[in-house]
Amino acid sequence: MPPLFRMSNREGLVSDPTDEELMARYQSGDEAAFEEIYSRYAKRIYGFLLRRLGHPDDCAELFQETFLRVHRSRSLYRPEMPFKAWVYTIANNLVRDRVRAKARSGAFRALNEEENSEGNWIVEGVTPDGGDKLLSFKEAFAKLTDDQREAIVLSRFQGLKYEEIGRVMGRSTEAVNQLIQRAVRHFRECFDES
Amino acid sequence: MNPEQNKSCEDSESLLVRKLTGELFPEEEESLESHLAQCTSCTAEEQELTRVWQEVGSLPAPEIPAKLFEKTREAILGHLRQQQSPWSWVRRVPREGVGSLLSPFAAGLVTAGVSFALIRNLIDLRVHSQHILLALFGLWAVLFAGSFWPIFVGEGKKYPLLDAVPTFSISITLLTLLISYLASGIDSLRWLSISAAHEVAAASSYLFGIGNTFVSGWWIYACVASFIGAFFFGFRRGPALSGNLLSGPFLVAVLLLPAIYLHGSSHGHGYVILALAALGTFVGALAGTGLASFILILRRILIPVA
Repeated sequence: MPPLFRMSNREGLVSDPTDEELMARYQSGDEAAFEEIYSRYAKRIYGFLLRRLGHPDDCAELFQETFLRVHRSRSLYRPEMPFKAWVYTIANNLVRDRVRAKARSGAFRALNEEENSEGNWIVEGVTPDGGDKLLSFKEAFAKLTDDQREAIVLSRFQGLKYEEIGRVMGRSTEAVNQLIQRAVRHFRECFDES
Repeated sequence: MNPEQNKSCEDSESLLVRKLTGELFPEEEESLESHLAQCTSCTAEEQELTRVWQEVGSLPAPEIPAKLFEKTREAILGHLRQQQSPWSWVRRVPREGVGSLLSPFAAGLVTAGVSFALIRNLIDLRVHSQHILLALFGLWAVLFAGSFWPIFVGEGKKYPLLDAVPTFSISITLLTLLISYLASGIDSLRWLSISAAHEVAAASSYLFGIGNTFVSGWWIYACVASFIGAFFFGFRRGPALSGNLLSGPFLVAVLLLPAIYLHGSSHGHGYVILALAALGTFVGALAGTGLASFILILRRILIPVA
């Protein structure tokens, strides 16, 4: 999709509007601003949900719900909060609710070790080379705590900074640092064993 | 390895992962690089962690199904277009500032004027009842107009005062209906006797020592109105006890003061009726919120979240 508009800065360079600028226009009903922000985040949010939930059906439902919530709550959004952290917080809260609800109902012990190791959290067609590697990765991923998994997905796969992850998870930057440190070392141990 | 070297290695260990995630401050990076230049074991550790980090990140990002992408996009664009249609002008009322307060207020005054004119032509009102009706219609209409605010514009905002508006719109509406009945003639008091509330009114009359069915009836209906309002409020928003129990009945009591006092004076009860009406709204709100909370809890128990 072509950019909505180009803004010249003092050096004569052009820059794309920031997420926060787009949100301001989206809040006032600008369709093009919505389309731009949606195209920026749709794939990322889908990837995040799939890696957190593991099941494409759940993921599709929460994907829609995430963007509908963004839409419904857009008037509450304040530019002081980075949009990226805001949208991931919405998606992450939905994931947490879903995991809790399903765990309560007993129909789905989401992301627990046993199920996740056999789950379909990596979609077909996008698996890395080597079946053994994939298996060891899935096992390693399944053995992470839920907090570690949340942090590593947001950091490694979504490219969020510690501060942004902290906002999404409601944790301090140092706590995020600890979670990621442990997760990386855990992966190392698992890979070494395999 | 000497203790100083050991400590330096420990420090580096915690920095290595932060280096991978791009979270190092420049001075930390400098210190780490300088340590790595002279420590083979930490250099090996760095290479190992980098390999792990790359392997973890080697999974390609999953592609979003095109159908899901389009469906969600269309759904939201549909909402946006709907809100921009000429019929959704109410949604474009400013959300902040003086305008947000004046718009429903102005709409309410207009509605009140029209309503009062219509009622006056239909019913031969007594003079003191006219004052009561005017005040009540004014309050009702302001709240009625304002009730569209959280419904159409609020879009999930949880402002206790905004949320309270529909509740009290219902309350005032019911009270207004009551006054309309009473104002249409003394015989209309009899309609109370055919309701169960009459029994409670009689008991209240006995307990409070006020031998006036009208006063007791008002108290009862303040309870009922607030109960219904609180019930809707609680059911829609969840058990928002603080907002509902405190700000709500207080607002009703304050808003109704002029009308209640007018009526109380004309019947020689003075301020007693104020206390009764305030009590009625508090009791009603308590019962309504309690029932709403109970139903919510019951629903969660009986119908687990899918």
